[in-house]
Amino acid sequence: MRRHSTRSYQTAGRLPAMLLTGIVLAAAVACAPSSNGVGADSPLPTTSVQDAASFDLNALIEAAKKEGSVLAYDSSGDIVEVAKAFEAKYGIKAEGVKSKSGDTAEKLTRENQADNVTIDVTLFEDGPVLVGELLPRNVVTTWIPPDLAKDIPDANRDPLLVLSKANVWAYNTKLFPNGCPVKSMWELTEPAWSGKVVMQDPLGKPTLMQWLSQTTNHGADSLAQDYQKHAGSALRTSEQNASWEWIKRLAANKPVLTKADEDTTAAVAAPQQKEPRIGLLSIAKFRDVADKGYQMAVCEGLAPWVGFSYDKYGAIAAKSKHPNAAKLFIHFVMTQEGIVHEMGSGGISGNKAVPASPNNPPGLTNWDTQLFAVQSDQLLKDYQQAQTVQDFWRVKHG
Amino acid sequence: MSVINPPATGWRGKLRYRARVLLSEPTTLIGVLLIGAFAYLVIAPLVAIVSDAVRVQYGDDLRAGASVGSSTSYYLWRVFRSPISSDLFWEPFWHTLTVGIGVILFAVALGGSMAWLVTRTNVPGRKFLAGALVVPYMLPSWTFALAWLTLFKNGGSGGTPGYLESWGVTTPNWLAYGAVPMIVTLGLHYYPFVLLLFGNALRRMDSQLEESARVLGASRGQAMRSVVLPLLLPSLSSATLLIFGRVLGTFGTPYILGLPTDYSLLSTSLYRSIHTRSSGVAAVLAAVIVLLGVLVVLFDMRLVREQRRFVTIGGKGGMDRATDLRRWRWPAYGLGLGVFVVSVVVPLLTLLISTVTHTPGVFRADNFTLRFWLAADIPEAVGFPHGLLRGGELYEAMWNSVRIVGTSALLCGLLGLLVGYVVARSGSPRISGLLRQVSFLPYLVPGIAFAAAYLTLFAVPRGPIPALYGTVTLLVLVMVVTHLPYSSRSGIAAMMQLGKEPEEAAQVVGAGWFRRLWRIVVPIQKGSLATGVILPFISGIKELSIVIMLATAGMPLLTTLSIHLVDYGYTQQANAAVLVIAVVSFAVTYLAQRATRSSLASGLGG
Repeated sequence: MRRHSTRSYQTAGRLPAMLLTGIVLAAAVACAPSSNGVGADSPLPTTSVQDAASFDLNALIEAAKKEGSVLAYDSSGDIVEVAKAFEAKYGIKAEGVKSKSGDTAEKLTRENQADNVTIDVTLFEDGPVLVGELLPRNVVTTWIPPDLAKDIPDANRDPLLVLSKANVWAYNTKLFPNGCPVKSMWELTEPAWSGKVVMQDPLGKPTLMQWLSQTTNHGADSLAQDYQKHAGSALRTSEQNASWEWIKRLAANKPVLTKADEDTTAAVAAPQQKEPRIGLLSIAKFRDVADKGYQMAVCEGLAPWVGFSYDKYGAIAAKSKHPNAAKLFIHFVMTQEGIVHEMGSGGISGNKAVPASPNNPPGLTNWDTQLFAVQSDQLLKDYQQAQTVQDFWRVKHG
Repeated sequence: MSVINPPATGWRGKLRYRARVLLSEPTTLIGVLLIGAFAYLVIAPLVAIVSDAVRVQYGDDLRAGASVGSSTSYYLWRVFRSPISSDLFWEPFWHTLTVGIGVILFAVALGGSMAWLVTRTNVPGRKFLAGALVVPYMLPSWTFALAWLTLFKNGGSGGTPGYLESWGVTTPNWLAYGAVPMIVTLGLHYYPFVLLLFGNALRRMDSQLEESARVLGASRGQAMRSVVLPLLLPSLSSATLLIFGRVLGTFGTPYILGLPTDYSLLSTSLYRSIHTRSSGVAAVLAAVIVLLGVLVVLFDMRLVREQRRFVTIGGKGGMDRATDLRRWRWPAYGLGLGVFVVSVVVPLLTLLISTVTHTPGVFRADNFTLRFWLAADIPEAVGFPHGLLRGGELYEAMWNSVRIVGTSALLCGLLGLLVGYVVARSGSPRISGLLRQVSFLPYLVPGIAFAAAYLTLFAVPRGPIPALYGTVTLLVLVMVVTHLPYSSRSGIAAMMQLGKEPEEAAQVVGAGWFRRLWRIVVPIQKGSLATGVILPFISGIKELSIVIMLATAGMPLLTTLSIHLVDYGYTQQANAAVLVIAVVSFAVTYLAQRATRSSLASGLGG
């Protein structure tokens, strides 16, 4: 064994550190900023609809065929079927990819900055980010099919609403054969249901955050009235309104948070499940009732709402290399034969001419009165207060 | 330098002389080139991250009270001082330290004892154990977390109840979620690190050293303390560092096991920040993680500086004598086998059983099925309507994975050996120290942050580098850089032990630098070179956080395929895909070992 001299190591620690600092500084100068300088308060580009008379669908189809392909991103796996149907109808190669809306937004933005766009079109659930970021930064644009515009109400145009979906409170029908065990949303915040309310982690699910955010803006009165009815006395709260109070109490009531609706559904309604639970989940999960032998129903009679509806918007990448194919895809999902693949378990198209899905889950009978509606015109406000709501939830939950 | 002619006269002659010196001993030149390349590839993305941390990000202009792009301390305040800071940073920080240290202790105890067992004792089935005990590292790390949940899950989280609960045993929260399962599952995943690095060092260590100490009157314990342990310290600290770095950057396991009790680590906090699109906060957290990593590296340097440069492979003869375990041979074998069963058989079997049942956890004859592997048509799985082995997706993804990961692993191994060569041979401590640090840095950057930074940097043309978004090149580049620490660690550790004598002998008879490298260094180091290729391969084939950001839809890899199946909620097919990853990883490792006739494991067995 030999031991080499250690004399020179005395200074070795400082010199690399100095060199490292030098390189860091040099690299700092060499790197371009990764964010550009547009503010969130800059006005949203307004959407105008091309004149229906001058619009020629066949010309669009021809142009789309020349482009050859289209890639669509969606947070629902149903997009694969939509793409297949699109390809079958028009002979244009179409691929549908399921991706969380946060990842989609990140990818869209990066691709746009790199001038190397692969995602042509997206059906996007995170309305606040769409309106607060993607549209004003010109990452995506809204296009409304002119020939269908007469059936697309103004409220559904900016941005283009493709499909309204819903999340509902559900219970296990085998454990509660007499119907939903809770009548008021306030019961979910009481000790009896501590650790028994199951929902996806709102910090990982933008639509849940959007729901909480909008509840604080236009759901407080209903919640306050319901409290009065449920408790027999008026709600006293130090928070801004009844909605903040409800969120605070729910967060503090040890809700079981999951990563995906699949887990929420299994926790509530799996065949071997014996624990009584209430879960907030997408109506899409009701297909598991047939497929996996799950036993559940919507919490009919829950006041003030049995759940909430939220919207999925259509947007085209601003620098898409297949702009016509992307437009045709948007056109396709605004018609019944396109969107029907996403309405297998309920949903309402943004196009009034498309009939509502007959497949609403048991217990959800009236979309308008039973559900709290997340409103498109509040998206920018949601975007601006997103962090406030997230922080509130985190502090009260932690 | 006897082979080089005395300096010629005149500047031309001097230049020629200098060039010849440089070529015969080109470590300095190579070192400078390597540092330059790595600095750009490693530090540029880090700078991009850090600069995001102190600049107002899009959408935060109102909250930060400054316009987008201007400099701000808002994110620093938010992460370290605001009311939300304990949630964002402080709690995750303490949790990370707890889990990190726990995993290190667990893995060192387990890996160290197993390494000793298979390299220095006469335990039966040494070869088998040496190979079998490395297998846990070939499984994607979230395999363990998924299997743990399947077994121990209680009512505190969603999903179907765990096996234990459905058998009537209620598991307490501390056993089902949080620090304990994280330490155990990550420890089971990472102990092969210790086994490999420690085992290599143990095997190479000449047992004459220990025996000389004994002959001179040292007791067994004394010999262990003052001869064996100091010799093993470099490899021990390498292993410890690799593990801590990995724990800093991993989010799959903490996310799966931490959410139900809100037990978050820095990596999960970062992941959440990215997913709630708080890029400024994410940048601060990423910077903190990198900083912690750098601190660990500096600590390691100080530690190793004291103990550095023990040459255990010399030009002289060596001996490798095993300890006779006598009547403890079979119990020791049982112990090794037990570790194998717990770390490999149980998790794999749990997953395998789940792929052949309709409803996981229900053991009735009518609940068993092979359809998730073989069926031509599974109508309820809209996005993947057939068994995993049907259709072309699996095979396409498999080919992409092997091709891309294989290329990067080979590059990585060669680079690692070069790094080791320069670090060990360079006359300049500055160059060797800097190269050591720079080549280790990628390890401490969480994959997802790295991928994001690479997208920013190389998605657009930069100088001579064209836009790389969506290309195989970008994936290979990122994989090489992120996995460089494995191979450079292994290269450094190996080269530190290789004395100069064999090379000097060759130099005396006139061998040039390349010839020496190719005919002497590579053959002697082929074991560690193979390790330097295989470790990145195994790690790459199950890499998720990077490829999920960089792989485009047209280029599916095995991991993206499996995570898509997870996202769809097709648990059975997803678990089947994880099993396929494990099989591919295992098969390629096995074939590579046969081909190079030296092995990852035999780094242990002999």
